[in-house]
Amino acid sequence: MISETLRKYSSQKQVEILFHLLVMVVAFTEHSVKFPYQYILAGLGAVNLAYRNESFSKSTFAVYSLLLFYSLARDYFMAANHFFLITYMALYFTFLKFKWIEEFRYSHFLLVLVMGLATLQKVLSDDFSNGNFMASIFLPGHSFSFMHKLMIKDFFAMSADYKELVSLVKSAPPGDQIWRMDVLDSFRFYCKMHASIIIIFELVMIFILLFFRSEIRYVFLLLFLYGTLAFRPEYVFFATLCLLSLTDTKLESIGIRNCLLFTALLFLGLAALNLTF
Amino acid sequence: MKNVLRWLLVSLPILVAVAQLCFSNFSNLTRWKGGGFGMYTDIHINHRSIWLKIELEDTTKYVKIQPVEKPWAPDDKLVAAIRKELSQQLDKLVSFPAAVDFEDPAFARVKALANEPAAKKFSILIGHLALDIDKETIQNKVLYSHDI
Repeated sequence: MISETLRKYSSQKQVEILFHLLVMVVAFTEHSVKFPYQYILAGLGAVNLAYRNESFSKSTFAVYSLLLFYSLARDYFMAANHFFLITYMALYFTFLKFKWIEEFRYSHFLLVLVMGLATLQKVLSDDFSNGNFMASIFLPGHSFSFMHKLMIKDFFAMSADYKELVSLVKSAPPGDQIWRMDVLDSFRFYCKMHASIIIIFELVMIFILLFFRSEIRYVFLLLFLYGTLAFRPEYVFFATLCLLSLTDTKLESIGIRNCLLFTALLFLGLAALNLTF
Repeated sequence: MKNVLRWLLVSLPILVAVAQLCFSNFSNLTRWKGGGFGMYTDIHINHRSIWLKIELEDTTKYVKIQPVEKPWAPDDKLVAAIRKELSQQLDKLVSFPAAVDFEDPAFARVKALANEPAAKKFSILIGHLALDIDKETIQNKVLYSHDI
């Protein structure tokens, strides 16, 4: 009983610390959060990290909810996925802290929704299913270009041509003018194969999220996050997913909790580094 | 009361997700925004551009408003002035042009800034990079166009 209480208390503390850190990073990375709200959010986060008081923490979450929700409502069309999730979490924590609702497994529900929608949008997007999107990510050669080089013989030459062509196309006014670009058959296959693998992997992930027990679910989520890091360095989004997973009350394994915590901190650190430099 | 709030919390993400799904598939909201449930499913939003099209008697002039060229051309005062005038609209123009209020007086001021008394028509164009690896083509396609 004592260990159960301790576990719950330490988990709650971990989640709160992470949430304050996340809000501090989001305050300065999200365009929707305007001056002076970003400083209020970051200031409140910093005070909460240094000083722990339950009633102050309660008010902090209420202010977080108000400011984040206001920013989201005003610039809804600019809101990224992680910003919506963080706003929602702030609202949920506020309701919980003021005892307006009882705890429910919102984190599991959100993870399934996020993953399900992402897969559905991929299936509905012609650019994704045709491999055009993967080509637009691979060709600039920013992320893991050595991997593409291993698979495609003339990748670097194709990448250099593409970058030149894109800057030319983007400097021309929108219209009917079409430019020809050389695409190797092997590269076309490589892009289409990646698109199919991602959709299959996401379907497997949804199945695991729905039907497997918490421990297995979050091990796969971690694998998914580290696996997709090659294509999408969305550190704040990944940290948000880890935080969401940590709030799952059914997750009892200390080892997996620590892995999620470490991953969230790692991604937050990387996001803060991105912000600084 | 607790039940109402609980249902509110459950329905909020579903509402946002459905709105995003509809606007991004049946209108021109980028899949990256509006709750972002479709990020990494479409060519990046950074490949969208905003242009002012000025149709004159015998020619057409284009002014690129966004993204600004790097390094910033210091003598391009017109672009800087237009960007300042449309500062409240730029983000929305890129992410969801159909939701922009073109009745905003800022657009009339943009026409005045262009200083083209002989112009027959002014329009705002949103371009986006269209890549086709099957046809081996690339294009700056018109995503949206609106007369101002």
